[in-house]
Amino acid sequence: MSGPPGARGRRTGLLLVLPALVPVVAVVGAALTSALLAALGLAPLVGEPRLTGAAFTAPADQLASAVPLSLAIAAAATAAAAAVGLALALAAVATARRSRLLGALSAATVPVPHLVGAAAMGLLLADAGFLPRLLGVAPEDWPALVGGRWWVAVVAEYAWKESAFVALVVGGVLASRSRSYGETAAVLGAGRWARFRTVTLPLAAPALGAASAISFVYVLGSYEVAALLGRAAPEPLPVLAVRLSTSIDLAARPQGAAVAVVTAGLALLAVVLALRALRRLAAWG
Amino acid sequence: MMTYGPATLTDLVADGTFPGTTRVLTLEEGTFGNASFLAVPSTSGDSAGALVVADLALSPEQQLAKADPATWGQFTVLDLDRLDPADRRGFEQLPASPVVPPYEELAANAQPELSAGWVTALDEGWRRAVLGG
Repeated sequence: MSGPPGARGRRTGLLLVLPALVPVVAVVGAALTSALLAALGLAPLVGEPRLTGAAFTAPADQLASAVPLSLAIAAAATAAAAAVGLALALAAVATARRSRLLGALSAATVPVPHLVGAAAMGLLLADAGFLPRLLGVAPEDWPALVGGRWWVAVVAEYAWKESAFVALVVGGVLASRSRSYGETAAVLGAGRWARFRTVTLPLAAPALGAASAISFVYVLGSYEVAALLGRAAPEPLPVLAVRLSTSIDLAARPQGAAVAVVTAGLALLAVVLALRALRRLAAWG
Repeated sequence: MMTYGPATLTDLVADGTFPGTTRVLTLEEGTFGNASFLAVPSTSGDSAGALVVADLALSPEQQLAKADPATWGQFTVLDLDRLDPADRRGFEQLPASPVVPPYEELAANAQPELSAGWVTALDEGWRRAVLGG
């Protein structure tokens, strides 16, 4: 190690990050700027540009139902993904032989596109799907998991996909660090539960928190699964944004952009809150 | 069975898709009716060319081919009284369909479709009240 990084070190670090930073800032910046311009009436399809907040107020009642719905779907899917992902990671770390199989299963889930996962989840959970047939339940007795009031299939699809992602991230952290700490704690007389609570969980927490934050923001802004497996009304934010943006009523397009801006704002807020919480979590490790 | 238009029924009965007893049901209260139309966008790069195509589609030859059940079976939008006798004869010699009633009978009580301004309101009502209800 060459001591604490000085101004020179910081500059080198910045240069190394630039190739990743520039495209991200360019793409996200351009997208957000054009969405903001459209939402504020400064980039109209027809007529003169005029600064107005009408696109935000016109769909106010739809936003009022879409925001809590989107937050609830993202929170439920993330909570389930974090619990299942952590359990998978723990199981993978517990025994070396089983870990390879579990790791392979998790890794195989990650590249499956969400659209394919959603179609599969629909075929599995719909009232005429594979599961009710397997269990011998008549379609009219099967709960409305797909397109129902509780968005079960949507949450299940996101939870399934994101749990694999959480397991991969948390498993990677635990595999490299938890064994030696755990063994030390065991030598000092800690039981299984105490080792989990005071060693494994604090070690896993930063990775679990970061993976959960990524998954929450992803689900909040994701369109296809909610569009395919969700209910037509009320709509979550991305579905509302796409419908307004593609409406035959051209006057609704700025409203679609406004909903997208609100979604991006919520995601940004979630990231800021998660980063603040993660900074506290990371103090230990 | 419901269909958007009866034009192809004669052909579908002839090729055996539907049984020979197939008939068009006319409603006493009337039916929604419309005519196909062509529009040229104001932003079109070649309005003149598009207008030539539109004229071609409205020509008696093309309208007659379109009205032939062997081609499509769509009723013409042309006023037969204003055609040359030779062109009019072509339309008059079209075979009478055993399945689809003549235009006068089908269009007797036709109602125009709703104005386009209703489309989004209908879509919204369907989405909220029927799909989400």
